Amino acid sequence: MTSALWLLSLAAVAVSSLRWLRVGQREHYLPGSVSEFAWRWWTLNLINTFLLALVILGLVVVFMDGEDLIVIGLGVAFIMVIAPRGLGVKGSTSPLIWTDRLRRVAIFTAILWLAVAVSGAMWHSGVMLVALVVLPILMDLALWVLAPVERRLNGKWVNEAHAKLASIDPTVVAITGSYGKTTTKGLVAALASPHLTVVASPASFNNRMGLARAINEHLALDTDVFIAEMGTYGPGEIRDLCSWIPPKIAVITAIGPVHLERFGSLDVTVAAKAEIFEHAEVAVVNIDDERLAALVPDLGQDSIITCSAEGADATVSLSPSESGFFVRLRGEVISEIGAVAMPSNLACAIGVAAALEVPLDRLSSIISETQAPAHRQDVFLGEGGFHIIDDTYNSNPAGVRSALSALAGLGEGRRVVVTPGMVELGSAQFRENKEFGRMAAEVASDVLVVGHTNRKALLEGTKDGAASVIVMLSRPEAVAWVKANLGVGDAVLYENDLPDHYA
Amino acid sequence: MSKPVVLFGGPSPEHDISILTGLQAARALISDGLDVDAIYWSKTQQWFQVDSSSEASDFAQGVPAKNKPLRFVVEPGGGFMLKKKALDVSVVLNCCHGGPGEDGTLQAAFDLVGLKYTGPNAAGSALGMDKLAFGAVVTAAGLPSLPRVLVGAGDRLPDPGPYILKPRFGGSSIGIEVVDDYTTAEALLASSPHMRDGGVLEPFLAGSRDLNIAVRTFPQLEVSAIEAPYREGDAIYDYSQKYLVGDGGMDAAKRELPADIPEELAERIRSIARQVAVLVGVRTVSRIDFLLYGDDLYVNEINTIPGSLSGYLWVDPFIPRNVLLRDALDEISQQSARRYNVTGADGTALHSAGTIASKLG
Repeated sequence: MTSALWLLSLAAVAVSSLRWLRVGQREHYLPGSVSEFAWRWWTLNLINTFLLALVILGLVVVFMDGEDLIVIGLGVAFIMVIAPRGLGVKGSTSPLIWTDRLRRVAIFTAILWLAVAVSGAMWHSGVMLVALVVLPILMDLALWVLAPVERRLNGKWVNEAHAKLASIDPTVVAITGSYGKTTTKGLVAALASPHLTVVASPASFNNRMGLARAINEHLALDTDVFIAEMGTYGPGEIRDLCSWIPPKIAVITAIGPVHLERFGSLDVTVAAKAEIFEHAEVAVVNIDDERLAALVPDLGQDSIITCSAEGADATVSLSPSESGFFVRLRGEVISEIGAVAMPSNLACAIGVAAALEVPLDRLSSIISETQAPAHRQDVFLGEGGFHIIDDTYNSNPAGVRSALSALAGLGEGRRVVVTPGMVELGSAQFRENKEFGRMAAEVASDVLVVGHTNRKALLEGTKDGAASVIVMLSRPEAVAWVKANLGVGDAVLYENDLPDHYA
Repeated sequence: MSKPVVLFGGPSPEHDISILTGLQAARALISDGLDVDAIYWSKTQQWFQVDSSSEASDFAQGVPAKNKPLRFVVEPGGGFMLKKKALDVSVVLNCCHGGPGEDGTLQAAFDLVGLKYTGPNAAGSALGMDKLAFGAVVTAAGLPSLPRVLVGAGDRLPDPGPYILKPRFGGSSIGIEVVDDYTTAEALLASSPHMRDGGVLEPFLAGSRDLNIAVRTFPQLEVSAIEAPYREGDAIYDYSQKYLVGDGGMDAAKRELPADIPEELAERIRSIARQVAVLVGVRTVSRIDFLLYGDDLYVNEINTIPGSLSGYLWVDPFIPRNVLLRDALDEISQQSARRYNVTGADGTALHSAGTIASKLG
């Protein structure tokens, strides 16, 4: 009888671990993330909470009298295979990719489960079921134990990249910030590439492994300038990146409530980003952000390039003109340019170009030729004859504002916003999504709220607006609605696309 | 058993387009029942054996996850080494656009190894990539070519500006600028990273049309239909077409095919294209680009490894892509690999030379 229970539990572990592995992979193998998402899903709605309650009840019964062990075990295993509802085992936006790292996590989690189950079985066979239910916690433990191992394994690629960077010896520009990194990177590349051979790290290759890969696979031997986008999930990460990708020019574009739940507070965010300046020769700072402006007096650099898009007294200062902006460099007007989506990013990019000492005489024409990189607010005409703004790769308040203003300028017909809202904004998430809902309802005729994650906040925001609001369960459902209802002259904004481990 | 290898990538601005050309060729050969290997040459000049039925998206982030690192060893019996064993290659179907994969560098290395490859030999490849030398050869043969001078060499074009400044070497449109005068051209030459190996200047013919034609050399020398590619800025090349085109690569570009031109002009193009093919030493396939300005026709440039290997141009006569590729492989496999002549180096000079010391004395 116990052997039947063992088989049953093992099968349930195999299936249910696929679900949690997917979450772990999606959350960058951050220890703690699997349990956090497990809790979110189990408490998401009545069905899941009910199923969890059933499971707990079943376990209590098993430990109280132990009579119906196999029947209850079957029930618990069944629920763990099919639930939490909504978080699939396979996934559509983010299927499991069997990398070596994922295999290590899977094997180690399985070993932990076996260890708990076998040692617990000496006391009570029900322990293996408990271990099945708390599999996310076991997986987090595995992630935590494996983290230093992974670091060592990555070391080979990092060493290779470090040596390669040293032999090619380009001028390194490091860019960080809560948002605008990719835009700024693109603008720097556009400004510098008429004069220098520029390689920019590809979109979202902004962590240790990504940057190692960018250097190993993309840094051509004739590179003059390497632009490294540096992301951070916590303190120490950028310091580590700068230790083997030492920047000559370092940039912080903006500070905002992105990934706030991982940092805790904005002060911690600023401190973590400011690590980028520690050994740079030139610091480029967006002083429109008060927190960044406050850093300037304490910076040790001889060369500090302050940047403003609000006309402040700065090395690079953009101020409104009739058709766009005047660009001032060290007080002198060097150009007048047309309207741009992210002027503060442009100010920083011009600051970097000045630090690279490239001529800026063709600034205005280069700016007008520059388009937003793919997935960061791409505008195109769909097959149905309506305009589509693809901003699915965005997740921050400033990006949302610029996308909405782009939508306001498109088409004469219906304007639709499709969004699941923004995530990873910590305590600001409800407030920011509510504000997003309010603005969307002003610009759009229809707002399609997708999924559960931010539904409440978005509905709260849209309730006073004139737009009609429709709640959708999934993005495919919303896309079908758009295709059925929009035609020539209409426009739709797809704002953010949450991976499907979010409800 | 030896297999054809489709080679693509390479350290060149056209690295990405080359991947599309290569994957497309591999796909066509596989669906024709052929067993082919695929080799990817990375931007950072490393070699990888990859799945020959890979998708373009597998390369979007860099080297595909599934790969086997290769070493390229330049010595007889060398070539592409997987661990200690050389791949048994029948013919390299070279799909590299621009840079050392098209300009004779790689071809010369293949010659030293004894590998057979599609496209012209090293000398022909180098000539095709050098706009200054190519223009001079075409002119010397009495064919119409735009006057072209090397910037900074003191030569002057007969006509006043504006001019087009192009990198001397390079197949793509990257780095091309319209300039009003020599001073601007020289300033750009000094500052532009694309001009580091020199730049050439030719008259800018506003309103001229591009007309392109492909040639192939097996089973016999023949020419394709003539295309008139649309340029950005033409009314018809609008925003939506640019964004809504199909699966990428040269096949997806917008064009008029066959070009709506008088038969007499078409015949002139066909005849000149055949002569240029012989002058450059085209093997397998090349694309030759012309400029039509009023009634004046000029040979503009040659692409010895054209985008999509010009498969899309063979609508009249119609030749399916798999047949074109098969013929290219057959043509090269029937030829022998490059051999170097050592006749005369029989030691006589060495025996009779005495000591080096006495020569020096």
